[in-house]
Amino acid sequence: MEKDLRRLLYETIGEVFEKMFFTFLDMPEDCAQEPDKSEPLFMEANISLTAREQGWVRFYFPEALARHITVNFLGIEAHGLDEKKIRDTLGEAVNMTLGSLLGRIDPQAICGTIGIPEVHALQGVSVGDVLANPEVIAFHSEFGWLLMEFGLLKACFGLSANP
Amino acid sequence: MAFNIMVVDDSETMRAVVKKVVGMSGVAVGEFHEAENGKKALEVLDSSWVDVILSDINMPEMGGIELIRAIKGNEVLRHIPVIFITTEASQVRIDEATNLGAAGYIQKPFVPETIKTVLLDVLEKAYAQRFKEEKPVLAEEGDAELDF
Repeated sequence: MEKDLRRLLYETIGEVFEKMFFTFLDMPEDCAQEPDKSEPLFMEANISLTAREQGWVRFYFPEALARHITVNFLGIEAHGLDEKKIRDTLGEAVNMTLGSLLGRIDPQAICGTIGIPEVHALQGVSVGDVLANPEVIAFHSEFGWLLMEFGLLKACFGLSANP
Repeated sequence: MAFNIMVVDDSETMRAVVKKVVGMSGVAVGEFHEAENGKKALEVLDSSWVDVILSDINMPEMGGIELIRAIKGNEVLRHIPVIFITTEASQVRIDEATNLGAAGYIQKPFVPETIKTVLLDVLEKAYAQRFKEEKPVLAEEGDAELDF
């Protein structure tokens, strides 16, 4: 993946997580730690984009990070959490990320229609399983690693793999 | 007299967040209505008086653009200001909403101050006299910095 797209994704996701969830993310190269590949993943949130082609963005959350951003987003105590609140928050996270990305890449044009976010619980899936895909980007947070995977996003936005 | 506010968003969590921010904004809120899409919002408008609508665009069944079209095409409802709070960031989409009569446009991710500023601005323009009467409440509570 080209460096510019990677940096753009990081800046976009970083802004969403900082502004809405008060959570700071680091790129792996800016952080001394390596992902713990055995760490189980808790939920995935994905959203589709229809532009020149169909694309999608998917986030994978460890449980601690999912709970942390939900508590911060809603301004509630941890004991007030339930699964619905977590699912809604993770859906908003992926929704806002793709919307922001769309605005940053091509704010003057309609370059895509964003779908409705979907959130699913994960069982038996670890960080290492998802990182087996070399296109996955990992972002470090103090509550675990956020993993991001996307399909056909470059084609949707008309980005070239070799600019 | 306070303002009746409706938040339209398919995410219950986002409705709760917006409700919280509005509550902290210093605006005197009377009734607070919620709807999960444009269709449900129109049902609320059938039976309740609403002064301002804060709506998402991208929702199942009936989105925000269809909702504002329906509102602006209705003689009784067309005066109600609609503020969009949405991830939709393209200029074309913003222009489309403005041309359809949107009173404000807030892009997610937002900081609470943005909602406060836009909401106060829209209410002041739409209800100048009533807003003036509410001013003491706003001056008293609205000065506080939003702690979100």
